[in-house]
Amino acid sequence: MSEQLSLRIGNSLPELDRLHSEVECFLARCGVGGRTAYHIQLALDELVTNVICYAFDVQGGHSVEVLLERGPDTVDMTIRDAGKPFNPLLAPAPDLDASPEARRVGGLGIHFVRTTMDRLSYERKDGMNILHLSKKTT
Amino acid sequence: MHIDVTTAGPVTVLKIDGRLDSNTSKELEDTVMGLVTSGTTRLLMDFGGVDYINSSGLRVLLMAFQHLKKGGGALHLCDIKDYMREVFEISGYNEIFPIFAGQPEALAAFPG
Repeated sequence: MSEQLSLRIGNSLPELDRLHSEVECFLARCGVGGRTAYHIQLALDELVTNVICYAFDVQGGHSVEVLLERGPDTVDMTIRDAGKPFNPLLAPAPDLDASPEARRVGGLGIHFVRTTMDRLSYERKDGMNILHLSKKTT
Repeated sequence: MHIDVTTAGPVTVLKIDGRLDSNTSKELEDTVMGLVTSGTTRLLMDFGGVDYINSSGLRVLLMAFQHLKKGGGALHLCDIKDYMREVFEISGYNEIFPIFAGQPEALAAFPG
């Protein structure tokens, strides 16, 4: 049976520490480390942070479901929340050509996710935002 | 995260240990803003003890750069782990801050 991790994360920023440590243990169990593990941690961190900060009107009282599954040569992830409809994949790319002095602070999180993940998809279904991510491990 | 503040001649050195994430980047922001408003113009951040950075950590670095630059100063970074160097490249930040292998090279590269 493949390794799985199913988490329910409260919509408050301190919960990100729990997400990180649970995912760290899971990836260690699956033999995933180094750069690949960092990309997975970073993508989950950026996307779950977005949900915590923007999906609901207030922090606290809601949750985000995070599911990780070890495939033969991938780690597949699903993030589900019942917040406002939002497809992060449609967010505009940051302007990397702006001068350093004028560069807008922020907007990089989704850019990291798009760049480091191998597959990404979004659906809105039954009142839920559902994001699927996949990272190759070979 | 722990931040150790020392000086090396005219340069203020921040040795950062731990994770730079949404929960800790505010502490770095406060430290940097405190230094900039009290007159620091040359800042070196040593990432030797940093094992994780996300976009909120990078946001603080850009903000520090912008404030230092306004006052004619500079921000240098050193000892960033290889797997994290990539996010500096993805964000184009490797072209904004000079990144050095270690403190000696980073200190020597501050202008006169």
